[in-house]
Amino acid sequence: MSGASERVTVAWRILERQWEQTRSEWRDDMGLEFERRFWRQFAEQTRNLRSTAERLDEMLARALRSHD
Amino acid sequence: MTMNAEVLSLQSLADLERAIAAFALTAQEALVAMQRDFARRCAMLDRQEEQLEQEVVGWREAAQNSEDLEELASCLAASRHAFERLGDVRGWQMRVGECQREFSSAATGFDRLLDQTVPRCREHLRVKLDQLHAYGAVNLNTEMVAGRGAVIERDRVSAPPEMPGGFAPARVPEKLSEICLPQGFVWVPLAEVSKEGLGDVASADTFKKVPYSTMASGMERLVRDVLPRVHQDPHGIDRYSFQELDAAAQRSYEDGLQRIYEAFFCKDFIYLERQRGVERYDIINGRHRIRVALDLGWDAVPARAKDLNQ
Repeated sequence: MSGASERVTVAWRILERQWEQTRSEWRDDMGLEFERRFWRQFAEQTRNLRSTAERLDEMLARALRSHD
Repeated sequence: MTMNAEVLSLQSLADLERAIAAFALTAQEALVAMQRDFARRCAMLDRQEEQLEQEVVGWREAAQNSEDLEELASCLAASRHAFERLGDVRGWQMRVGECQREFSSAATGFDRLLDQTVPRCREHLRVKLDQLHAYGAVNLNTEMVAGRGAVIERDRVSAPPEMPGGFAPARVPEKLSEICLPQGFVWVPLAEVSKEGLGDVASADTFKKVPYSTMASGMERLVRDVLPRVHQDPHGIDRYSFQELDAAAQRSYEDGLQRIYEAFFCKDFIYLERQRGVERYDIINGRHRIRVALDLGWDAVPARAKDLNQ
């Protein structure tokens, strides 16, 4: 994985941990509201970015390796 | 005003807001770096294609100019090999192109998240924080226990009452020195502060700038009204937060909490220095406040401290 991808992954894990911490201290309905309005977008967009970046990274590495 | 929302810790809201800001900053930089890296490697693949195209053309020209059958066969074989490799590279280019389109689409969505959703999300959290600040969700009783330091007592009900804005007060440590302070400030135990120089401020008459009684009253209000709020949001709260509270309560600056906050956490903060090999801190600024703190039975003071032993 590229360094940039790694940075996103690490930053995401930190944010996820903070979210879990905050979520545990929120009443359910407030947590659900935030989750519905924002968190799902964060999770989905970040997951998409990471998975497509990993695929492209891997594909480029194989392509360039095959003709070195 | 009632909302269907409650948090047990304001600090947790502030931490989430900061974590989102930090994530957005890192992710934005990483996204740009990723895009550059992929573009650079795609360009390398394109260069491979160009080189192989030139190789194929070169071998074909060499074949046309060959002088005997053996050379012709050799050139044609090399041309075929280069052509196969060219096909291979073009196959990779197609597969990479497909992945690249998927990545670009994801990157666009992610960029939108950083550009639009993150600011909205942070604003949402800030509004919640402001509501709590504005409605002054902290309701604490303070008892000063001479000789034992300040003890903050709070209502020990099992479930905190719902506050205006839907928030509940955060848990504030009972021990003064466990209360969180703004960045750069620490609790310095008074036992570690040199009492030399306090002789000059031993009597109330020496309190010329601010009378002793005013200072003592201000320090009690610091414990009762200011520090609990600082504890809830030590990195987010500032003088303007207290200015707003004062305005909401129609308090003048002289009688307000802003002035007390500024006295301890703005330019006139208590400043202590401990020289290398020395046991106690010297008081560089704040002798009067330290005198009053001792009289009030505090066991520590909020200060900026420089310890040359560390």
